[in-house]
Amino acid sequence: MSTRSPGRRKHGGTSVKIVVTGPFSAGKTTLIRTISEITVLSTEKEITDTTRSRKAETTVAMDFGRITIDRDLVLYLFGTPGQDRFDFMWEILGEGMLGYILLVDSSRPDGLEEAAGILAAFRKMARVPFVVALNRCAGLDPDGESSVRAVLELEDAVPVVPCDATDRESVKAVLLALLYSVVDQLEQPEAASV
Amino acid sequence: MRLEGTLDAFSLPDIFQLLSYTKKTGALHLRRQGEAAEAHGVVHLRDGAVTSARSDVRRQALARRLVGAGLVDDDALEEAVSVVASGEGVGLAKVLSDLGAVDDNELRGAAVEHANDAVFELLRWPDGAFSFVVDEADPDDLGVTLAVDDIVAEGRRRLDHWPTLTATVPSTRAVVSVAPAPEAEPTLTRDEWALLSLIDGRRSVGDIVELSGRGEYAVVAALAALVERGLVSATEVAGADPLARRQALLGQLEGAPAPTLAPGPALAEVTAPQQAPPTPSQRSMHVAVVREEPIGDQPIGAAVPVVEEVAARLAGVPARPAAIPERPEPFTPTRQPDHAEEAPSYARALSPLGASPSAHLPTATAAGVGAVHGSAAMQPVAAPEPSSLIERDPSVNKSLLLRLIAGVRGL
Repeated sequence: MSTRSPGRRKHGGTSVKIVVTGPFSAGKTTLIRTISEITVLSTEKEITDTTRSRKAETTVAMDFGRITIDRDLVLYLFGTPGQDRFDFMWEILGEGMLGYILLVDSSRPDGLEEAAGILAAFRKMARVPFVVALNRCAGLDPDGESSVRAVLELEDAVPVVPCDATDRESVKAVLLALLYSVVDQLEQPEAASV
Repeated sequence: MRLEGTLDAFSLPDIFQLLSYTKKTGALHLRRQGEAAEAHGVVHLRDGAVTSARSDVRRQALARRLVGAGLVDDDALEEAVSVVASGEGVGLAKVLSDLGAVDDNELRGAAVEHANDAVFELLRWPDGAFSFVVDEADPDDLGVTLAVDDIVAEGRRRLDHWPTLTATVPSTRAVVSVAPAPEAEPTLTRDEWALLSLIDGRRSVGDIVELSGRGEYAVVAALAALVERGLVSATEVAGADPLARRQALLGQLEGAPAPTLAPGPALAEVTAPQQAPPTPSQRSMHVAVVREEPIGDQPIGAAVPVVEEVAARLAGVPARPAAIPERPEPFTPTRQPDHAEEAPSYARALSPLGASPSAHLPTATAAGVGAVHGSAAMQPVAAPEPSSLIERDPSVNKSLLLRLIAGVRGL
């Protein structure tokens, strides 16, 4: 797999991509819809398998949102499909990303284990910063954070962010956590070789 | 599954970015209701890069460009047309390429220019609908690949420049005339000469775009440059040709009936007055007749004297019968199934995580929604194969990140 540069345009414009991943029904589409300035392009279809009990439709290819930073800088958000049979899309969507958000539904006991599997795949695929966002989580105490880190096998440096995917300020905080992570990686190049 | 929507919700650059980022192969169809009929453009992509584009699928616009540039002779064109007419789903330019009738470099150059022109025209659509058909074949795939970022950037550059051009050349309805007495000795490039050969004081900018086979932007830009140098004029006012207007005034003293000062008949009437108005294909054949003769062996960019030749041009051009039958339908290649991609090995091999320790997630603390725990970047615990890793792009710098942070904060 080759690396892909952010969208560099000859005339000064740049586009940057952030991927939002996580288990089925974690709230990825909601998160992108909350922050995107355009109507999110969702490729959803009716669910016909056993996961139908959780929701009626699921994203089968990707969600696609946009945030215009200024005239020549655009941030694109791509949400991955949540079901395993569409995980071939992950590599395609991941190429060229600045970093990714692992979104987990904190109200589902099995959500974290599913997230661990997705995170393992992303770690094999990409060496870019990421944050863990806990959806439907009003806050995060030290014990809760420790248990999350244990299940996901996170290093201390990985941000774990409580999040409400329906709340714009909360989603902004998640994005900022990721962007600060990328800054930190830039400023600590020795960490990248670990 | 189709990807479809409307351009008011998703701009064309957004759609391009989506298709580029996801490395899609297929055809992006764009449709909008025009003044007379539905406009239908198409952009073909392979692995997220543009391979060709047409702003109007009803027209053989790339082939017209080749014909207009004098790159195709009658025999090759007739053979190619017969192949395309046989309905094999191959485009005219592709057939000409396969026949070896056009130099590959010339053909690819024309294809790139044509794609840029088409995307520029599609970017100017104020509304419309789009649909992406996965794996739809490109009938004119000449092996050209254009990065989406580049083609969108070029389109935006043209959009920025467009108001300046249209201040000089007001519209495609403007009639173009040669200045009877330029202030300085005129010199022209080969391309400008080719355009000048089509100016007869009656044809509009739109006529010249169609006859030349070049895109609207290229033609308007070239005409604007000629206007700026005082060599031609372009105006929507009736009787715009100064030479015809002044001759008409003299004619009144000679007892002749006052000639009309309105713009002349449409191109169709000029080229084939005894017949029904020709189809666009018929017009394109006429271009070949006009363009073959004066270009000669002049190298590209060479300056040529023009006064005598222009006078000869104004004497008129003989009409020639049409040789290209009108295509009844645009190409409609067989649709392929969606999602033909194979799952990558890592995805197929991904094992369930039953062995992971379970944990109950926290539901409430004093930290509050939006608080951030941890601040530094991290690296994967596993040691992946370096050759298969997606890495942060080295060109991402702190300045860019600070702009992103400021932008997100300001949302």
